[in-house]
Amino acid sequence: MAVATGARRSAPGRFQSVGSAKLREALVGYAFVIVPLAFFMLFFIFPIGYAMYISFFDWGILGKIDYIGAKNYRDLWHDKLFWTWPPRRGTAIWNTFYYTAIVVPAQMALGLALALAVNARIRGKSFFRAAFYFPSLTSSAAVTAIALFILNSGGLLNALLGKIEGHPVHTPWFAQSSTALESIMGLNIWTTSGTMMLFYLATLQSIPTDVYEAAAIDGTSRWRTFWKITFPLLKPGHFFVAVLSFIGCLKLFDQAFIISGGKGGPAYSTVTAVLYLYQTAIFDSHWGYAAAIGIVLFVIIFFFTLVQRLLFGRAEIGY
Amino acid sequence: MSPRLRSRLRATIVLAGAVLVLGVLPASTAAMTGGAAHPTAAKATTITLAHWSSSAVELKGIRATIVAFEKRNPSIKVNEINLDPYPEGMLARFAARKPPDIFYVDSNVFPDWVSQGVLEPISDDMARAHMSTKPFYPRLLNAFRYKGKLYGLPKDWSPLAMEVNTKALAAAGVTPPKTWAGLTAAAKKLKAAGQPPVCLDIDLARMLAFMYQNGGGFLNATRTKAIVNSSKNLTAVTTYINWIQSGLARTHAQLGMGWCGEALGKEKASIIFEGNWVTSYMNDTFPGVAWKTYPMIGAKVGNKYRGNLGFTASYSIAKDSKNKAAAFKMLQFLDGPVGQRVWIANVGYLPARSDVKPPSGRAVYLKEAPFTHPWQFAPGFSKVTDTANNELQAAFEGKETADVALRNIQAAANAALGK
Amino acid sequence: MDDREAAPHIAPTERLARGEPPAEGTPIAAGIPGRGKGHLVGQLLLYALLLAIAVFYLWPFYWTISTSLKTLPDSVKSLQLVPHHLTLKGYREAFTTGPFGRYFLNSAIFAITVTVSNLFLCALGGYAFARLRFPLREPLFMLVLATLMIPDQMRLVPVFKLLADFPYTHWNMIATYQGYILIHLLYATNLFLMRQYFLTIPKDYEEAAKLDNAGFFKTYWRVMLPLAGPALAAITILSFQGTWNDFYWQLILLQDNSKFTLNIGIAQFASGGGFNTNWPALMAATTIAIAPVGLIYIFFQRYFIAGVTTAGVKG
Repeated sequence: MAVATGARRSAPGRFQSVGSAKLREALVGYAFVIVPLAFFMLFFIFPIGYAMYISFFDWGILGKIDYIGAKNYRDLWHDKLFWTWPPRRGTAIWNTFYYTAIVVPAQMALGLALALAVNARIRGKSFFRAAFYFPSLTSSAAVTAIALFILNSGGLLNALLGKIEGHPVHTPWFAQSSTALESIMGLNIWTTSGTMMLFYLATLQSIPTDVYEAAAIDGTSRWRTFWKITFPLLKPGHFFVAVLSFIGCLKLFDQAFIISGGKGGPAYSTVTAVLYLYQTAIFDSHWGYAAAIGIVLFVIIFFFTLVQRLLFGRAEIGY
Repeated sequence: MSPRLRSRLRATIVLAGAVLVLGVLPASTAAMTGGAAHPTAAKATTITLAHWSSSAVELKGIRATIVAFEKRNPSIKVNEINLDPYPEGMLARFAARKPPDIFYVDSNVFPDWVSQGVLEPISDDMARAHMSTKPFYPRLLNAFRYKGKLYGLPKDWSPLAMEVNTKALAAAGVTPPKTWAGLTAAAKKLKAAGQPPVCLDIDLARMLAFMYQNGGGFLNATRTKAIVNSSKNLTAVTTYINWIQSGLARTHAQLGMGWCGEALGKEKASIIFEGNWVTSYMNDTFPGVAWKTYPMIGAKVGNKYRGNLGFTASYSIAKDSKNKAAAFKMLQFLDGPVGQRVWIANVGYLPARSDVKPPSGRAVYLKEAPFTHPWQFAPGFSKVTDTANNELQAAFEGKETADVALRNIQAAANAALGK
Repeated sequence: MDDREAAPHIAPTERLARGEPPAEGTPIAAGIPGRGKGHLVGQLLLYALLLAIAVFYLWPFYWTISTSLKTLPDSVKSLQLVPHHLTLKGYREAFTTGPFGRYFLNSAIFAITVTVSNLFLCALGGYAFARLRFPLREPLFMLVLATLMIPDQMRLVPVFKLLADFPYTHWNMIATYQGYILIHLLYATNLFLMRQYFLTIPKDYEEAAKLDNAGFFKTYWRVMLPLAGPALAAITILSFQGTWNDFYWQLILLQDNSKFTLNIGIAQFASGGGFNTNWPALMAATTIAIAPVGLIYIFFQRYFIAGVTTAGVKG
């Protein structure tokens, strides 16, 4: 690619003065960004206000029914299916938090372990990295279908367990409330560990090697090197993965929807906050109430996203 | 960037742009007009019929009725669209004020839709067209009445019945049971003979039939109060759950099947309780299995211990439809004797009119009519049925007792009624 | 071993690791692997473990493909590792009962269109935010970034209502191609990525173009855009994968059977919408759904990983 050099006569009509050149640049700038900005205004910024507006109404299929003030929020506060105090499994919010409490540490631990493994001096690094990342690039629907097949009461997992235990095993993993959400946890830990591994890898690879050399000079054992040196140096990675994982868990919907057919069964075990929102909006057509749930979820998620932005807004996960 | 990558990128962009222009724009224009558009004659009206479809046979049946209608009404062309999931698809179209002209309405969602004002009352149109409601089964017709007006005509219906694998029963020396006690005895014999068990689902749409059999119910006659939390219901629910917990019956999930019908077909269950939809399913998918339909069991011997659920759907017209006259003509045809005959001949469902002969081999289902309660509640009850299913599942898993479950369901139902 | 004795000046890693002080004047080798038996066993164990994990991670996909090629009776015999009767019946049934051929086409239409749109708009916007000066440039960019904090879930109701009854024009864009594409014209992450990348390109190129009296758009199109190759590759992959794998919006916006994508089709098939649990057909559909992104990954691994990492970090 060559930029043509050499004299070219100035085309007539080109602005020469600085002032109009600045104006022209500004106009072109706006022209370039007008579509993106309009898009974000219409589909992101405007919806916040619109959702808040709808949440103050009783809104049915055909539109506004009644202005009801903060009734939707009050009903939400008292909604035993959404949340209870003390926390109880089977409510939307506590299901989501229970899920988050288990999945976030598991994803972090697994992601870190895989990253360390791939980062070690081994051959076939890119094969292993590819293998560990592969589940992450599938769609939630596809991987849930696979899980439904393997975790079917007559499926592969039960067959293997049967061989190990010596008697036939027919646990319907997704059809009983004691194992349904846990099975989703296992599924998601498996699929997202690859992405977390990549983030940890990026952090790991940016730790300067002199740190390790210094440790070697001091004669530190490998185990101590890891715990006292590597692990603390991964702090940016830890925080980053933790918050990302956390926010992802709060938004759990796809797998819960597919497994329960949108019903949140068995026995409320798979009702997540977002599934509850979906049910209220689509099955019940209580748009106002659903909008209120959306706003509450927004506040919770926004808070944690803000935490991530403030801590890592401009920073990289590395040095 | 390397020249090779750049030129590859450029080629990809051009190709994608071509796809965009050539593929999406015509597709979206077609989509804007709402589906496969027939070339219409200058004078013809086009109406849209929306439906769900559970099988290829049904699809064929729908197309057959449309063809028969268009032959008799050359100035009306019918566009059929298949929505899946159905309620959500319809809701989106209602919300946009661009609904299909004529469509299915499941009896269970009818209260929601009619109370939100999206359906058109048809009593006046029927009077004008001299169409009588007399041939229709009254219980079915009532399912589509609201505040004294009629908002649709039933297209077909089905109750539950008992379907058995005749070979398995013969091998165990069991005669088809007629009561709950009979079912327990039969299941025990099947188990002893090593035959597949009964298939029962933790589903309100099945357990409610058993509740009716014991004299219980869900809502009172005027649909103003919930009567779920009663000792009669408690007995029914406990007996039902007991069958599964004692190993005499299994759920479809425990058998690794998608539903009990599949369990019957794959001979993993000997006795199931399903509706007429299982007949064509078994004939098409599992023709080799020897099976037969028997009447639904009762709590005890005697007619007052019989109870059943009736599943039905109507053809209704949208309030926001722009072609109401043409849509009504189609409704008239679909629910008239000719249309019903074409439909029944193709799909084997039970007709909603008494003057149309039912398909052969379905007499057992017809005999359930006197004991059938419609599968229908009140507006806003979709959450209540979900609650009911979740509570019953919790009771089944032993996480709570059955009376706690019934209490919670009653609370949810009353809350929905109060709204 | 002889090696150790014969190699002077270098203390083996194990000895160092055990805390013995290195000999005076020993140049430090930063851990030579593979020397000594202990280390070898450790390495073998590590490889064995890694291999086991890799097998565990990839096994379900092998199982999926293998099941998709089995006959229906074989598919429910759970421990049959290799299909006894290879058949394409699963695929044929997926294409007929699905109709997954149609669904594949829809997935492709959405993924390609959204990717193209993202390429055009995000590159354009990213360049403007990076290199063109206009008032309020920084606050507007912050605004775009802020939209990343707004979760999709909260937007369900307003976006649905917007598309169902578009203001002023009263278009109904639910269950249409344009509705779905419209709300995916841009991903804020992609715009961010492009801007970041353009910021790293030295200004010399633009200066040269300016000397040439090239206008703004020409500078962008002929000079800057070709330089942004890696970033463009990254957002191509991110947009394609993101849209191909999307479930939430496809579920909500594509109510009409003819517009369904692979993901919705699979969800329906799997969650009991199908009367018969036809595992080979379902696994065939799943294979079809995973294959495109999987293949892109295998051939463009570098770009893929770079894109995901940077998007996650900076987005």
